[in-house]
Amino acid sequence: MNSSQREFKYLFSPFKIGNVEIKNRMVFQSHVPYFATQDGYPTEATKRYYLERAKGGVGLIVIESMMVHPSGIYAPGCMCLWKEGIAEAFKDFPERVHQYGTKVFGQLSHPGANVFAKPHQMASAPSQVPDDEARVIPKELDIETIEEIIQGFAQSALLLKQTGFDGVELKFAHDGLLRAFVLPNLNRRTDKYGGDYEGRLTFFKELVQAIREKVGPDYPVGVRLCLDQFSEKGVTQEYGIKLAKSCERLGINYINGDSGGCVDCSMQIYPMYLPLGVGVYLASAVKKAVNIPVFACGRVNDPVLMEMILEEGHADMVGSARQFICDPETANKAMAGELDDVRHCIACNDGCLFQCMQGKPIRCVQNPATGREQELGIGTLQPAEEPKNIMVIGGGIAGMKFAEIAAKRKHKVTVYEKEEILGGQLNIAEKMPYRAEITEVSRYIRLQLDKYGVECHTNVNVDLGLVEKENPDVVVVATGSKAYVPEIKGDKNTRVKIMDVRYALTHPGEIGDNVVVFDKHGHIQGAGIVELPLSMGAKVHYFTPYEKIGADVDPATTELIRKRLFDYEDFEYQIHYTIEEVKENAVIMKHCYSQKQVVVENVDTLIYAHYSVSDTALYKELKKSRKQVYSVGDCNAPRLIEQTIYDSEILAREL
Amino acid sequence: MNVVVCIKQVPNTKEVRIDPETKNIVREGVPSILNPYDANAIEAALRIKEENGGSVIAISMGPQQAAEVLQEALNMGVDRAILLSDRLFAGSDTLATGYALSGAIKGLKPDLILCGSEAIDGCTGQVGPIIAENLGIPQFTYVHEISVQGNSAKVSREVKEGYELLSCKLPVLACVLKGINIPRKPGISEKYPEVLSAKDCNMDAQRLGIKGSPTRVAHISSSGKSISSFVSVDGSLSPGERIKLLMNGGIVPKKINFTKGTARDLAEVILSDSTVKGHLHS
Amino acid sequence: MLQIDKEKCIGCGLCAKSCFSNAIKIEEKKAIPVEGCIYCGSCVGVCPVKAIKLETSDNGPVEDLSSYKGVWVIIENDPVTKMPKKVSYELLSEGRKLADKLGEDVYAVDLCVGADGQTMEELQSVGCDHLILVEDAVLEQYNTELFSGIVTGLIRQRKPSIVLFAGTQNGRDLAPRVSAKLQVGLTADCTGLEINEAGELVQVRPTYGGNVIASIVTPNHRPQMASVRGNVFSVVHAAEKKELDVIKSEILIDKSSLKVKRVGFKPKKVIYKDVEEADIVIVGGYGAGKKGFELIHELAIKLSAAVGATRKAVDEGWAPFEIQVGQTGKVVAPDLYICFGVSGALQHTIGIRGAKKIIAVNDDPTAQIFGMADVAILGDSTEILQTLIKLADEKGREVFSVS
Repeated sequence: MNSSQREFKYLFSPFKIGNVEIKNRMVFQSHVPYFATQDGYPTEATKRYYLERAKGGVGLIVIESMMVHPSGIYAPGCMCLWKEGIAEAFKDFPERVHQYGTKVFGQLSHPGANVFAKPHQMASAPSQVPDDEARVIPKELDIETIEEIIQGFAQSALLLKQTGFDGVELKFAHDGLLRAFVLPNLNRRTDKYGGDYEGRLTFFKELVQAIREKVGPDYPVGVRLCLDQFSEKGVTQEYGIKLAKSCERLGINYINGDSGGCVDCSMQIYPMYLPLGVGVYLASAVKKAVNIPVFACGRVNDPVLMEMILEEGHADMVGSARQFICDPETANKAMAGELDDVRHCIACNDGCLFQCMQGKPIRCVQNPATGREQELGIGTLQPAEEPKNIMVIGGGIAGMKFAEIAAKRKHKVTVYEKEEILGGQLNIAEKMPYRAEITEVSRYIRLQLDKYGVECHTNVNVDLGLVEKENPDVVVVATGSKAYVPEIKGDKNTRVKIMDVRYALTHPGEIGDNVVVFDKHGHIQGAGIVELPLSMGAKVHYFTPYEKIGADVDPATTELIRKRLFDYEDFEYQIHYTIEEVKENAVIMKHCYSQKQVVVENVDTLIYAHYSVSDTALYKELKKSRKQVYSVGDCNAPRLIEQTIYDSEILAREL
Repeated sequence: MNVVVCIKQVPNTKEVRIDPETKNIVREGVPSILNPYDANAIEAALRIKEENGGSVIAISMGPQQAAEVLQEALNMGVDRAILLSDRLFAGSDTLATGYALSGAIKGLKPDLILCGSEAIDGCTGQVGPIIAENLGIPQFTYVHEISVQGNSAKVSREVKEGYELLSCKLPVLACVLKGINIPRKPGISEKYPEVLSAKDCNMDAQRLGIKGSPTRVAHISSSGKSISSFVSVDGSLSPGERIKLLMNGGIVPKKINFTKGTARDLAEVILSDSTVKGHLHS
Repeated sequence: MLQIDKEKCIGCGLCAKSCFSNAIKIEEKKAIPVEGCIYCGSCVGVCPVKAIKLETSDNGPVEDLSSYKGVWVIIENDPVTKMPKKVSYELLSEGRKLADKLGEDVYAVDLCVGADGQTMEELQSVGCDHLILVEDAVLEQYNTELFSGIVTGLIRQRKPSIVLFAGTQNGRDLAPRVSAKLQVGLTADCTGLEINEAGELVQVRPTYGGNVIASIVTPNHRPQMASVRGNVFSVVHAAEKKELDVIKSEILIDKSSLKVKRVGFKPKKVIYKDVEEADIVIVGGYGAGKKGFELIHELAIKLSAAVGATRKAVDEGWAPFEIQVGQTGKVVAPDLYICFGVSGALQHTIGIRGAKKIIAVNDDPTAQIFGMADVAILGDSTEILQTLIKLADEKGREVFSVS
C-alpha cells in the first residue's frame, strides 16, 4: 500500500558508542523475559529469544537486568552474575548475536528495595524507607555490603566484557538501588553515601570508577535513566536532566531514557491509552542538555516514527522492547521497504507485561513465537507436505490467522465470513473507548491474506450445503462465540435495558443516562466498557465480584483505566459484589461476603460483562458427516486474542 | 559539454540553536552536510556527462570547511571541484553570493549550470536565478526532469497544476528538485578541491560580502517552537496532571455539547462558519 | 532614454538579441536604439564593452530613498481562470496596510491576456489604488525573460518603494531575476511584513528549518522586495472602495525572440491541495468510507480546501499517503479543520493540535475527536456531506460578499 514509499535517511545509519559501532539506530530494550532458570542461569530459550531479534536486524540488544550481588535479586528467574559457571553458561551467546551484525550489551542491576518476588527474603536499600506505594521494608545497607555491591558491579561488568558482550548498561531507572541512593526521600544516610546531592551521588561515582578500572575507558558503559517518575516523590524531569548531566561528567557513554514507576508500570510500559512516542519528549529534553548519545523510547512501534525521532533530532538511538517482541523482523522489513508488513505492537500488555508481572515467561498476543522461538520462530514455517484445499468458516481473528499460516505453507485456503467485513469480534472490540489501535491485529493478518492469495468471501452464511458443494479437503470452523447474559432474577419484568458488552459497543445510542456495569468477565470487556457511557454523560455504577476492575488485565492498563474513570464525577465503584436482582427501575447488588444488599435506583441500563458462549452448531453438524473438521478460536472456547492466535498458528502448522 | 554544479554546505538544520546570551546562531558542534538538493544536482550533472561526454565541475562558496562537500562531489565522480573562499565573502546575502559565484563560473565557460532548488538553511531558492541573470542566460526552476541534446536542453518544470515542458538553447541554468534522481553513493576520489579567492576571479569587492548585500538581518530570535511531532507536557505540572494530559495527547479535552439535527441543519452549521463562507467558490 | 555609446560599441549584436521588444537595431555594425524600449536593462548587462546606459534609476544603493513611492504587488494569474490567484489579493490586502502606514498608494501590476471588469472590481474591493496593466496574448504563459524584463522596466520607470511577489513557483522564479537585474535585495517566503520607525519594510521570515525567526531590512536599496506564500496573510476588504486608476502600459513583444520555448504541458492527474498550507483542511477517517471520500473531494473543490486522511483511511486505500494527517503523516495547522468519520485516535489528533478551529462530524458519540472539537456534530457523514455539497452550490460564488 501507500506508506511504503519512505526513504530512511537516519534509521539505518551506523552509530558509535565508546569503541563500538552499531549498524543501525534500533535498540531492543532491556526487560526480563523469565526464561532463565530459577537459580539464575541463562537457558537456550533465553538465548534464542534474543537471537531472534538479532536475526530480525536490530542494531543493538540490551539484554535483561542481571543481578550483581546476592543482597539483591529482583525475582527468581533473574540471572545472577556472581554464580559459579555463569560465564560458561553464556559462552557462545555474544558470538551468535554478532553473526547477525548485531551488538549486545548486558544490563546490570541491583533491585534495592524494589524486589519483585513476594514474599521477599530480604531487600536492601540505602535507608530503611519503603519506596512509594511498595510494600517492602528493606534493610539499611552497611558500608561493607555497599562496597561489596560496588565490586559486584565492577566484577560483573568485567565478566560480561570477557564473555564477549560489547558493553554494559547500568540500571538507574524507575526502580533499583542506583536510583534509591540519589533520591533524598529514599536516602537518609549520614555517612559518605548520604547527605546533599553530591553526597548521594557518591555511590554511583564509586561504582562507575570501579567499573572503569576493570573495563577501561573505551568500553561502553551506559545508564538506563529514569527521566520522570510521574509520582510525587520520585525523579522529576528536572532531576532526571540533572542526573543525566552528572552521568556525562562521570564518563558514562550514553543515556537510555526510561520513566514511570515499578509498582504499576503504567508510565513505564505505556499501555494503549497513551500516544505513540509518548516518552520521546523526555529524551529530547536530555539531548538538549548533554553531549553524549541519548536513546529515546516510549510506545515507538513504527520504523517511520523511529526515523522521525532521529530526523527531528530528539535522540541518537531509538529503543523499543515490545515492538521487537511483537515483530522481531521490524528492522529487516523496514530496510527492505516493506513497511506495511511490519506488525505493530498495540500496547495491550496482555501477553508481555501481564505474564512478566507474575514472573512467568513472556508472551505476545500477536506473536505466538515469543518464548517459542525454536518451534515457531523465523524460518521455522515449512511448506506443507501435501497442499490441501482448506475451507475456513469464519473470518474473525481465529479464522484469518489460520488462513494466513496455512496459506504461507502453500495450502489453498478460502475464507468465508458472514458479515460484510473480516475481523469478527475485533470489529466490535475496536469501538472500546481508547482501544481503536487493536485493529492492527486484523490489519496485519488481512494484509497477509492478500499477499498470499487467500480468497475471502464475505456476506456468505455457510451451511452444510455450501460445504458439500465446495467439498474441501479440510474444514476449519472458526464461527466464534456469541455474547451471553445469564438469567437474572426479575429480568422478565424489568424496564431496565439489559445488554451485553458487544451490544453496548454497537448500539451506543441505546445506552441510557443511569447505567450499572456488572463485570463478571474480569478482563478488558468489563473494564473497558465503563468509559463509554461515562463519556456520553451518563452516571455509571460499576460492580464486580472480583477484587478490582480488570482483575485479569495487566496492572499498567488498569492503573490508567482507574485514573481515567475516577476523573468523572458520576462514577461509582464497588468490588466484591454480585448481582442479585433487577426490579422495574432498579438493580440490586449483593456483597459476596457480608451478603448485604445495595439497591441502585433509577437505573435505565445494565451492561453485563460476562464470558461468551461458543457457537458450535455448524462444527457439530460437520463433524457428523465429514472427516478432517477442526475448530479454532472462540469456537473452541471463548478466550482472548493471544490464545486465539496461538490456537490457529498451531493448527495451521500441523495440517 | 561542460557542466558546472553549484553546491553548498549547510548545517543540519534540526540541530541549530540560538545562544541565549549572544543571540547568535550556534554553529559549533552542529554537524554540517551537503545540501540534499545539491546532491541531486551533482547526480544530474554526472548523468548528463555520461550521456554527452564532457566534464563536470563542482563549485561552492564558503569557509574552508566547505571543502568537505566539494570532496564529496569529487568522490561522486565530478572532474574538478572549486572552493571559492575569501574573507571578503563573509556576510553575503543572496545577491552578493550570486555575484561571487557568477564571477567564478564565467571563466569556466559552462554549457549548463545546475543547482539544487534551495538550500535547507536559507530556503530562498534565489541564488540560481541571480547567477543566471548575472551571466545573461536563461533559467529553469523547479526542474523535475532534464535532458540535453546537442546544443539545447529540454526540461520538465513542476508547477502546482502539472508539468511545463520547456526547451531552449544552451547555455542555460537549471535548479533541480529532489525527485529528479537518486544520487549515487560516493566512492573514493584521488583528487582534491582547488581554492580560489576573490582576486583570482577579478571580482569587484564592492559587490561582495556585507558591502555587496542590500539586505541586512536586523534581528533574530528563536522561534520558540522547535518542530516536534511528539506529545510533550510541562514538567512543572503535578504528576497526575502530566499523566492526564499525556493520555489526551497533550491536549486538555473540551466539554462536549453535541450539535444534533437534520442533515440540512447540520450542513448549515458548517456553512455558517466564517472561514467556510470566505472560501465558497462556484 | 536608452543611450548607446557609438564609439565604444563593437557591433556584436548581443544587446539586440537580448531585447524582446526589438528596441535596438544593428545598422552598419553599430547598435542603434529605436522605439519600444521598456527599460528592463537586459541590454546594459549583456554589453561586453559597457557601451549602454539607461537613464533611469541606476543599480545599487540609492541616494534619495524618498523619491521611491508606492507599494506594488505583482499579480499572479491562475492559468485556468486567467484571473488573479487568491494570494495576489492577500498581498494587496497586506500591501494596503503597509501603504496606509507610509501614506502611499497601492499598485497592482498585472501582466495578462486581459483584465476584465470583475477583476477590476475585486482589486478595488481590497483597496487597490492603481492597476498597471500590460495586456498581450503572449502573456498568457509565464516566461522568465518576458516577465522579468517587463517588471524590471516598470520598476525602473516608476520607482516603487516596495514590491511584493507571490511565493509560488513562478513568483519565486521571477523575483530573484528581477532583484539581480536591479541589484536590490529580496527576502523570500516572508511570514510577516511591518513598517518600522524609520519607514523601512521589515521582512520577517523563519530560517534554519523554522527554528530561527529573522527580521530583515534593506536600508539603502530601493525597491524593497519580498515574496510571500499563499495563506500567510488574509484577504481584507477595504472599508471604502476607491476609484481604480488603470494605467495601461503598451509594450511591443517579439515572441520569436524569446529564448525559452514552451513545447507542452502535462497536467497532474489529481492535484492535491497542500494540506500543510491550506486554510481549510477536510479530513476523512475510517468512518467516512470510500463513498465519503468521493464526497469530501467534491466539497473540498467548492471550499477551496485541502483533503486529508487518517492513517486507517490510507491503509484502506481510500487516499494516498501524501495526504495522511497525523503523527506518521503530516502535521497541519489550518484555520479550520473539518473531519468526517474520524474517531480522533491520539495518533491522528497529534497532527492537528495547531488547528485553530475544529468541526467534527461523526455518528459515534464516543469518538474521541469530540473532546477536541469546537463544534461537535453528531450525525451521518455521508448525508451531511451530500447536503453540504448541494447547499454550497446553491449559495454560489461568494468570494467577496461582506459577511
